[in-house]
Amino acid sequence: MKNNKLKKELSRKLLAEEIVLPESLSAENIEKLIREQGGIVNPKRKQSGKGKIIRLVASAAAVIVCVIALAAVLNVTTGDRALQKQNAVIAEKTQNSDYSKIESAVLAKYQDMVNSYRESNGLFDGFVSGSKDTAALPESAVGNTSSTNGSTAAGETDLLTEDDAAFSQTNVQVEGVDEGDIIKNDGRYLYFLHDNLIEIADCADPKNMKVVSQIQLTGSDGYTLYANEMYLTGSTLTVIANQMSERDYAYSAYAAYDCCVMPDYDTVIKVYDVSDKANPKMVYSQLVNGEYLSSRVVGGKLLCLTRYAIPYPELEKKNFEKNCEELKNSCVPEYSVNGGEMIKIASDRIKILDEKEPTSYVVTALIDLDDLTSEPKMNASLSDGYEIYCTNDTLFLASSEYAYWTASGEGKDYIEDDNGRKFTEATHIYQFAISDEGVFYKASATVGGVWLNQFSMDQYGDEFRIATSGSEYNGTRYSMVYVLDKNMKIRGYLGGIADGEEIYAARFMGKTLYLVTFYQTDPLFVIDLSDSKNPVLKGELKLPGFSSYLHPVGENLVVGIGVGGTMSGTDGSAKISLFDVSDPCNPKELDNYTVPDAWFDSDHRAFMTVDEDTFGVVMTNCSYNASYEYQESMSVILFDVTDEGIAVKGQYRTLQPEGDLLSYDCRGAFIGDTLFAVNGVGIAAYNMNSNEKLGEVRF
Amino acid sequence: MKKHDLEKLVVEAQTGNGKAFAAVYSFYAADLYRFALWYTGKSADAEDCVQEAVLLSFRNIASLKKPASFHSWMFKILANVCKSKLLHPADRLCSVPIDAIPEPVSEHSEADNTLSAELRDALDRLSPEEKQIVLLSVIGRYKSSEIADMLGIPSGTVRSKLSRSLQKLRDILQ
Repeated sequence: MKNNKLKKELSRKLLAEEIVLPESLSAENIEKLIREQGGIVNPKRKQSGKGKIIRLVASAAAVIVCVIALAAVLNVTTGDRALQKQNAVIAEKTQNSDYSKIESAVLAKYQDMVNSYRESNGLFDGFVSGSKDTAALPESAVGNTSSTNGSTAAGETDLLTEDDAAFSQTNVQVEGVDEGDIIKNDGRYLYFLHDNLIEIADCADPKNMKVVSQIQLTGSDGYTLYANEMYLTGSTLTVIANQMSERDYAYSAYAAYDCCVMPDYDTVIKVYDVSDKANPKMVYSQLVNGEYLSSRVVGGKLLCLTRYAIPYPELEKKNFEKNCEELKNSCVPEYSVNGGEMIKIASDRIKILDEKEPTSYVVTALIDLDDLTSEPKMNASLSDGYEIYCTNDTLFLASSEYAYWTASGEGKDYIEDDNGRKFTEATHIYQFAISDEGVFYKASATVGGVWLNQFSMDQYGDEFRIATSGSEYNGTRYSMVYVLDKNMKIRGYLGGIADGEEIYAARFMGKTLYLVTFYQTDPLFVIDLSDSKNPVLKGELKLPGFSSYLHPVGENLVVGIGVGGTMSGTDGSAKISLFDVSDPCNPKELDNYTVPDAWFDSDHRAFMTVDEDTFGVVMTNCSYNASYEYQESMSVILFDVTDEGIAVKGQYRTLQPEGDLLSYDCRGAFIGDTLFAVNGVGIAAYNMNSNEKLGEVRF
Repeated sequence: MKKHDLEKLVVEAQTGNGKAFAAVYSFYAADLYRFALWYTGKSADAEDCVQEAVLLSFRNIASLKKPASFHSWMFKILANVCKSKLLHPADRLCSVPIDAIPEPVSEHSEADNTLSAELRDALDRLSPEEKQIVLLSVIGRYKSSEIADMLGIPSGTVRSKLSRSLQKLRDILQ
């Protein structure tokens, strides 16, 4: 207790002193210093822009070809709008896409960036300034073929289980909405993704497991793929990966650093037919502009989101008019199917949500995995977005905004939520409806604070709830929860929770929100949402350490996976807590299981449900050996939950790598009574009852 | 700046892009200087330490495997530079014989930050390692397991040293 107070007081004193950053340490001087004395050792390679020119020429050519084709079909010249309108009814399948609104918003922003850069950097010779109007390009006439949905025959379930043995499934947030993961299980085969390889292992006989095939994931044009996660739907295996693109975009941190460019990514989706496990065949692929954001599988359809950064040119590049033209050609995201040509997303499927600050798009691709011959339904919104919460018919996209001031004097002091409360950080939530036709924008809201992860959001009935942490403008930092109605209007709000702390875990369970906040200790808060207009804080439990993931068990128990500690902070131990929440005003910790010098993987997909009382987590042990060398080992821990407490069933080690390389991708899985501890090295199989090791297979 | 974008700037800096590095630096500059100032007690020394640490950091940034760890990696370098300076004030972090180095000129920079003498004296009572631990914990807000990693000592040692240091500072804190 004493040390806790001393630390707070010391912190207050140290941070209270007014300190001015000396001129020699300004970012400008530091940049000069590293330029003069720098000498970076073994810099990483930049991606070259060699393909850029070819692509620009190709896309210009494609536009011309489309225009000529359209002109031929409509029998008009590009300038003749009236006739175009008249003949539109003939070309019912081809719709004119009008991107002029987007283009002018983007070019206006580029002009602003150039102006503020020039102001803060004095005169810039050779910089040709231009007006906002650039030469009119022929209107892009990419058709949007409205395809009817293909057959909806349910995918074959190809389970090769001979009996009804239960097997592990991904621990998803919303029942019926599948999430991607690095491991999938069909009751006999394990599919494991690591280091751009997918291993398909036959685990029917745990004493004799065999890797029957491996899929090596490679990108196009020699670019590496960074594979993220997979889905298994019947006998179809879908992988989603990032691939470096040839686009760079100017990153605008402070006006003086507007010259910074960063590479953007494309997302690659590959679908394999694995009905013959020994011979997987790729049956579909799609490339979508933008870095992979997240995905779900709902009703047999893959919903994949990417974030496309508009490639504003590096501000030091001269020739403003040329830059504007390049920008105009690339300010709308594109996609291609099965290696075909790149297609722009139709303008009537793009929702402009942020016209004043157009920096990025969030693109949604809806792919029918049961009918891969049908066209993917593509939509986009001109907005930012980082996290999703998805039910089977509604998608919520969250984007954060921070009030800030740039060196050139632009910015804001605060952001208001929809009820006018002022915060220094806020979340914009966009609501979309998911249908067979695609993902379409419906409504949005702005709330104070920033969410932690997907579990900070929840839909219950027709209400949407979100828990955030943030600082009030000229006030303190706290946690809060908002309840929104189906039109995204704020219905209820509770703020001021846990002054000065951050949210470390959140879980909505029906009418209750469990919130874990932390600074030195972890209060577990129980918030009652049964009256949505008036969320009420019911109970609080202060205890050492904190939980990162909360999992409900029955009506009265909650399991917390996290970190242990003392009352003055964490202590490097891993902890599983069992909370009794039968009395919301008085939550109690019934029991806990603590392992020193260890941590549990806080990713919710590393949490496994074996049956209603038995669960698994992935643990990493860290220790120092006799010569103070740091070592790690990973294992799966299985534990039972009862009304009395936690009983650990066993610790099942993963295979150790040779040499120093530690494989961090690790999951537990089970089929029947066999537990598998899987990592990039291979699979170790154990009997869950006797804890005897049965066998192993190395990849 | 979004954390996501900060990571991307680090990745860009790893290709040798000085501007990107400077942008990342500017985000942490105040905290770095504050740490060095409290550690060394003198404005001029703090400036030297930050500059040296930043140079070292840029030189070796390509070896950083996880861009998301830039923050703790940067502080680790700074903590070690500061400690080195305190123990061997005339040394510079390059292999030049001590005699050949002229005495560093203590210029008064415009921002002559004078710290509360009382607090400074109190911190001077701590050993160099204790000072590192206290400042990493209080200014860097690192957990003891993180500090243990950064300084290469067991986390139990970090906790006990932190506890002893806070007790040593007790009379000025109450």
